[in-house]
Amino acid sequence: MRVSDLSKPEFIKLVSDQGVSIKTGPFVVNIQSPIKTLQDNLFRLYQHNHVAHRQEYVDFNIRIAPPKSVRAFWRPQAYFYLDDRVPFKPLPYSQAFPMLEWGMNWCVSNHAHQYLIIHAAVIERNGQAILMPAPPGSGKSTLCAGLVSRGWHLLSDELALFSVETGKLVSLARPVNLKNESIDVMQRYAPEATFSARFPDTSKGTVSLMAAPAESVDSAQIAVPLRHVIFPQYDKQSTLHCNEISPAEGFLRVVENAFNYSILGLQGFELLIKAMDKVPVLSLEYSELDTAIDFFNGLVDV
Amino acid sequence: MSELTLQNRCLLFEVIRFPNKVLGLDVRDWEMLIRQARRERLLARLYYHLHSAGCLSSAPESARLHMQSAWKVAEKHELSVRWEVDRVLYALRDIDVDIILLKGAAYLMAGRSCAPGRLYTDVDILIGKDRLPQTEKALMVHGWIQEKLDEYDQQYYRKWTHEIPPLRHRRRNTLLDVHHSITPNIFRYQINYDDLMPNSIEIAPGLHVLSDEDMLLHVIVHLVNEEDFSSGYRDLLDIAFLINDFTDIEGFWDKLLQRAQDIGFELPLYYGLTLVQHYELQEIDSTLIQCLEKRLGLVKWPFRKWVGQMLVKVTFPKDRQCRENGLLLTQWLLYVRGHYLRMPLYLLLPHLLRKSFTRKEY
Repeated sequence: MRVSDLSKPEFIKLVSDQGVSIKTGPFVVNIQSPIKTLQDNLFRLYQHNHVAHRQEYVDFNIRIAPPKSVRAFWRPQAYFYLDDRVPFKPLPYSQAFPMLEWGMNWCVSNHAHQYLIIHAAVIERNGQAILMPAPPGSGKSTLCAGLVSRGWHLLSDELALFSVETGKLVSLARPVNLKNESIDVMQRYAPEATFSARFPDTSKGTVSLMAAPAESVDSAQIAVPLRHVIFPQYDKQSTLHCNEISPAEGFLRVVENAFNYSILGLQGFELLIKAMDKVPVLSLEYSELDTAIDFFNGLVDV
Repeated sequence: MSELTLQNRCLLFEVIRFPNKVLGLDVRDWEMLIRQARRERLLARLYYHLHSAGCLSSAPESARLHMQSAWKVAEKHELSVRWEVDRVLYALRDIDVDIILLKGAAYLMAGRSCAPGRLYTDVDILIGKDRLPQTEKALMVHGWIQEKLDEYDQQYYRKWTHEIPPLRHRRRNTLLDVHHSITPNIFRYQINYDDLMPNSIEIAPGLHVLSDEDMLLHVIVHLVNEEDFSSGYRDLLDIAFLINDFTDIEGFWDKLLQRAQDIGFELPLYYGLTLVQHYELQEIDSTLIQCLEKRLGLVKWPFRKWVGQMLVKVTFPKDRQCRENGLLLTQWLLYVRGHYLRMPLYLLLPHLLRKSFTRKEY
């Protein structure tokens, strides 16, 4: 059963009461919250995701709720609870939904060491995955969202999961996090996509999320091998061009973006050496989405 | 939900004692078990117990992955503690000082059975008070610097505790606690480096751990005179597993009793052993406890009984499923008591008052 198979009142009742157990990639997350904006956005952005069967193990029990204190009314806040723990500081009540997204990222990157986890976007086409590690401001999410709206499958916008067992990339199938100007850009570029509300004044500026398309969610079960690593950089002035990066430097730059490389130790090193073997590493400067997407299509022979 | 959880208050507690109780758990039970273990920072330890008992195959795939992840983190902790100890020895190689490892790092380096799956927040070492300035200097040269403390906290550490303010390595970001005594400064019995060194066990050149009796007494004193019981259950397990390691050693219990008497640790020892007995974690010879009771004249002191009951409460897992009513109050009372044991009352009251106003904001 998918989230969209539930009526909205049914869904809201579920989230308010025992929580709704949603499958995102290999994880089952139970989300419980009385917060209206969170419920609305969750219902829309996760409409294609499956609701977990009652007998499935819930990996993360998450609750987002106002505190039992004056801050429920006065400059209201929302707290993120994982089980009964509060792993990080509360945010303003209005940012409950982006907080859920960031909190889920935190849950995965701190608990799922069956994966080598890289801070990177991953997209796939024709069974070939491209890894895009990049710092904030590089236009990684915009490019990722653009590709996804033009037939690429989204594995993840933030967390690349390399399975320790197979060395392949596993999908999370969660929304893309768009910031500031790129929200308008993407709403024009992909008007048919589903967007969340806009959340102004977050620590990352204004934030809006773009849902993963149904096909991306459906193909989430299939692990794919890495074929290219690309470090994108958006630059208004530039025309599209790319440079090759040496394997050694490319390797180190990927490691720099890893969350749990030090925890996996030798295992992580060996995994990544193998996964990146004969994989070209490129840096890419781009200014226009269309030409950049053509370039990506060329990489996988579309 | 299976019957097991209805019969027993805490799944984690039962499973640590009898790992094969996981056979027949349903998926909700497993979620609860993992949650309880994570809450006590014992998830990797749980993995170790289930793995050793061959009970892992009955776990749902996801639960097993959570435990294995925790185990990987614990392995990383272990590696980093070993490296840290190595670096400390290297930093101190020129000043000719023998150090005694305390607590977690000592259990690990001495191969005690409470070490596998353990998480470490710092490395604790004990050195002679007269060597403190030299040691601090040598450590500083090798990158350990004092955490920024305000003047008040700095004074508090130096004057009233048995350690210097924690040192943080500026590159590895690890914490090192340097102690010169295992008891606070105002304790009637001062147990410091010179009392402990002669009996200690040298496990590598210049590196010692406490003798068996002292190691057990130290963890017990540490638990029962503590202010913070957030890891109370873990500490209780440490005591139980140390007893398990030592109990069959010829003459251990006699030496323990004698030692406790010599250094004035009989009351903490009594509390510690009764806790282990209460929870049936290890078999304790009841004549031993009676002997301690007689010597301490416990019957005359209802307050001591009450403290004992409070300790029982705070050394149980604290998950919502198992916590008792009034836990927070009990923890607060013991927090005050823990402070009272290390500072005279005329200093304690202003200190607590100050701390209650400067508590870190969330």
